[in-house]
Amino acid sequence: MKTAFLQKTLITAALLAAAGHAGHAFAHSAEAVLDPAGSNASATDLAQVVCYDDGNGPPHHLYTQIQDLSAPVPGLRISTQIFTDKSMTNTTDTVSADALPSYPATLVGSDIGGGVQLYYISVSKTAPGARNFSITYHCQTANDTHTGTDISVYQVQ
Amino acid sequence: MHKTLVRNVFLAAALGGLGQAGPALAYYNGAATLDPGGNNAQATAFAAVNCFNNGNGDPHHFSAAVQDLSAPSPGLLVSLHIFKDTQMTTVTDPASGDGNDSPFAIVAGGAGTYYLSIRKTDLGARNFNVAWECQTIDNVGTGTGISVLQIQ
Repeated sequence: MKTAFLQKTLITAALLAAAGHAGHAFAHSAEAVLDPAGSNASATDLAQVVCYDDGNGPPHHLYTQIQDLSAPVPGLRISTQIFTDKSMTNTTDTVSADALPSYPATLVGSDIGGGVQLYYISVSKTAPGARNFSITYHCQTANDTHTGTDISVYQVQ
Repeated sequence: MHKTLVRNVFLAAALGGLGQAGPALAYYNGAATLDPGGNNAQATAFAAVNCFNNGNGDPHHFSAAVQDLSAPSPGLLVSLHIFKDTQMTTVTDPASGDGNDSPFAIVAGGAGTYYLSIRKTDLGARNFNVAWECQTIDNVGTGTGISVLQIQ
């Protein structure tokens, strides 16, 4: 129920035009448009991800990939970042619209109490221009098994 | 003393050339190399910045810009992020090696901890300079402490 509620919150927040389960088992993936007016080079989407043990095991890391669905534009690339209050990583889709996502980015988190981990994920780009993108994110155990993943959207630009 | 301490931490973490420079003594500056081995597309520099009132006034926002000092390479651009609480923004230096900064990124989150990061879009070493400062609502520099959390 908690997961369903937060997924509904995600949809309501309109970060992701189409949110749902897709890809491999229990993965979370969604599509959205960054900078729909095409005038904001600083446009950044931001969300908080809570990882917890949903019965599949305690969380160890957060996994993300991003795919740029728009036509290639020189100097315009889309990236996703994962960070905590201690560390950060990122990955960029280096070829737009080729139907392949970026390399995965993973970040190992820490227990903030009760077996819960807290991460932030963001999506940004390098120049003005609307970008349609798809993002996949899910919390995993040390053995890369999907485990409890909730998201709350903070900012949509 | 506090400012000296955190500046030394910053230096110890190998961001060289730190100091205040530029117009009206604004902005601290530091230079470093991201992905010195040239084989880590995900290399990220990450720091926590504490904005506080040092007598110049209450912090209103944190501002920063990045300059890519390396020669241009197709598809390889350096970006900067500022994050605090529920806000995040991004700027990118669109022309590497031209001697110009990116636009300044600003997040208005008052006093407290902001996070600053530098990243790039592909494989390849990038020399960069970053400028940063906590400012009052009137854009006067105020208390700015930085602690480097990660350099890759």
